[in-house]
Amino acid sequence: MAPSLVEAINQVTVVSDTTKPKFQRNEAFVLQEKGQFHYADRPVPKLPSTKHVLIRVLATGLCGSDVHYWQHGQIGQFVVRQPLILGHESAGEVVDIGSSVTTVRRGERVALEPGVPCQTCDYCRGGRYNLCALMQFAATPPHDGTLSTYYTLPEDFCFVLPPHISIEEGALVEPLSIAVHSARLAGITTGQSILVFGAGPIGLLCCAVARALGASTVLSVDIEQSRLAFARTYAATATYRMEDKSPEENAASIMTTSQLSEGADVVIDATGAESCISCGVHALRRGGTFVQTGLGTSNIVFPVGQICSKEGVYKGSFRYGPGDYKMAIELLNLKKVGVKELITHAYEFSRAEEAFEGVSRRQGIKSIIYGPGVQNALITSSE
Amino acid sequence: MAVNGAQQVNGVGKGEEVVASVLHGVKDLKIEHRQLGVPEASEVQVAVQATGLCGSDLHYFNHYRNGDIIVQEPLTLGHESSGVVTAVGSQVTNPKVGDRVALEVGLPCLECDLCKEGRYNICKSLRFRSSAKSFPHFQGTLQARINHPAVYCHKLPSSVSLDLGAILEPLGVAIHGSRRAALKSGSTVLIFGAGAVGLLCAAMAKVCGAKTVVIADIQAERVDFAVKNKFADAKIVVPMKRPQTIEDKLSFAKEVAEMVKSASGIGEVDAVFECTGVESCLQAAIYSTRPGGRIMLIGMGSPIQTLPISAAALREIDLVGVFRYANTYEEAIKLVSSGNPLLPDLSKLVTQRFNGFDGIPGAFAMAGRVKDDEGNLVLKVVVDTTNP
Repeated sequence: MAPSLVEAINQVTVVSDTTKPKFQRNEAFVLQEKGQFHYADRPVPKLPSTKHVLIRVLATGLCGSDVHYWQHGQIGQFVVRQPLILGHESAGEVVDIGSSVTTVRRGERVALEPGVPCQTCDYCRGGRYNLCALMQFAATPPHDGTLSTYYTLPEDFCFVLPPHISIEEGALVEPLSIAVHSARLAGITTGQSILVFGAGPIGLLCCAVARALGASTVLSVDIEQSRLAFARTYAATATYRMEDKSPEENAASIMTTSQLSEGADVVIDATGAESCISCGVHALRRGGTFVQTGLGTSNIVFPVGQICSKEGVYKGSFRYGPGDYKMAIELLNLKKVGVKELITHAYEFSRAEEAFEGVSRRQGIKSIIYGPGVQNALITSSE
Repeated sequence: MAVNGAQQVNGVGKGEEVVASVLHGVKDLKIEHRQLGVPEASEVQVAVQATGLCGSDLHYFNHYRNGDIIVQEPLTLGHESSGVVTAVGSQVTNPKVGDRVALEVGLPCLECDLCKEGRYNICKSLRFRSSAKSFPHFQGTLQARINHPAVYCHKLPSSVSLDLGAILEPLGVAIHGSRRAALKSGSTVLIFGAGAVGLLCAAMAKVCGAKTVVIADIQAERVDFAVKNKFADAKIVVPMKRPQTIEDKLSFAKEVAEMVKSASGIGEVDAVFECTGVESCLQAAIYSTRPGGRIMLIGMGSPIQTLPISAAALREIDLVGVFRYANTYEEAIKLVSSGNPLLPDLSKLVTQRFNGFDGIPGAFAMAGRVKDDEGNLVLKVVVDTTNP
């Protein structure tokens, strides 16, 4: 039996300066305003309250948004105006806890829910904290992300990983929670047919969650055959390759080739692309629900007539809220969803920029950057 | 004014003495002085000026317990309060000194799943002023001044009196109950219990567009008051029978249901707000409700009851628990200050007022009565501590 990841970390040779004692060096991978990266030392964060914990970040997955900030310096109204640490899909080890913390212990491996809301506004108190206007979200300017040695979070935003889940898989709990949030908004129940546009990490995870929630047909749609081939082995019951024709024609093809003559009960769009959204609406069953998970252009041409005549429901989906991380962890715990298959690339912290370049070239499915001082080639599971 | 030397620190910094009413045993209220520090960074200091008395306060006063909850140390009562902000903590921008506020006295943990879902009223770690449930007891509002988190002090517009500000707490129960009832416009509603909470539920049913509100009580004057003041459209006076066997009980319950159906001419109702906690009322509620209807369990009375459960279950009548309130103060404030024509005059619910801390024992005695010496109904007794 290979040594546990945590034991291995304690034995590993730290890649950078080891002369400073533990807790005194917080190395960060920083994006500058003009789009260049550099490494910098930052102060080790102090616990902001007695309910906070200090986490040593061990693995961070990269998201399209991280790459977008690097390449464009902004997303919508969020602009990189000062150096910013990116990364928000992380898992790590709890190294210190505030005096009021009762739900996590030092040494536990946790997935990080990287957005802390205000807890006092109407959205927070009313059960929709993901819509809090004062949300402090990692790697959304001006809040630093998790590509550093340490990060702090309140205890209730740290979720203990099941023993059989590796740290790398722990980094995928964040995108899995996005998929859970979308699936819950869609109201997926047993026996339904689900159409998912986009076979990137989010689309794939939506397929997996839909299967776990009992959907009997999960159709993955993409333009790339290789992505669809993977989807078929991973979580989709069938696939469809978008053809170079109108959205209505693609929808008609989907409905005939997949025997969804009435359309799909649920459509989830994980692309943000106008043609996919349009196609999805055309392929939606009467009374069905369309969940917009992917963020693309802000304004599109939209077949609103279809939504009206079908009495379809079109729902926005933004990040994740109450109960989503908990369900994501439970799906992994019960092995109803697997995420290991999605991890195709892993980089040491010193090669973080390569990871960004790779993701920008759409290499693989999910790339992981290890935390500072964590070496590659550590075992990924106790199985 | 009896002075007891006991002191209790209620904040940090330089202490000041404030007057407090403290319950030491059954019907044993003492006036004491407590140390009150400056408010913490996110707190404000409030001079409590109006406090309504509630059944739970009365229960603690009369029994030094509330059901299973036993008082473990001296306890200040009162939780339906409003007042004026006298000092603010260093991080507080709202409310400001001089603002008039209604106090939300239940503080949840904000970390658990229920809090995050917006159901903080049922947070397991919630601490509620004047309740002996948590220990050390979170002291109630019958004190000259308290420090309280700013985010739970809701600013009152100038058009809303402090008495009405105190009514916002039980109104919150009615709002929360009406939300969980999901009343459709044009629905028919039955209220059991024409005390303050029942009347407020009737008012909310009207506000939600109920076509007909029927109110039932054993006291004729209470239901007369309800109809006269436009809290309800129809009334029934429930006979004071005391059936003993289960057959007799259910037979009586069916009788009451028939009274409801014929008094209002509406047949079975869409929803019932059960505000008494009395077994016979809940039994009657089940027989009074239409298939698919809903019964809101608001009154806290007998914890164990015998019910004709199949009469409910086989007709898909849902029994819905209601416990206090969550996210109701802003809506309550808007409601009472908006001049809504469907809302009856809630200030009529304040039927007796007592002044100062010396008036508190008299207030408790009055709150336990059905009528005062002049023959007026006792609905809500308010203690005015503007001048302690």
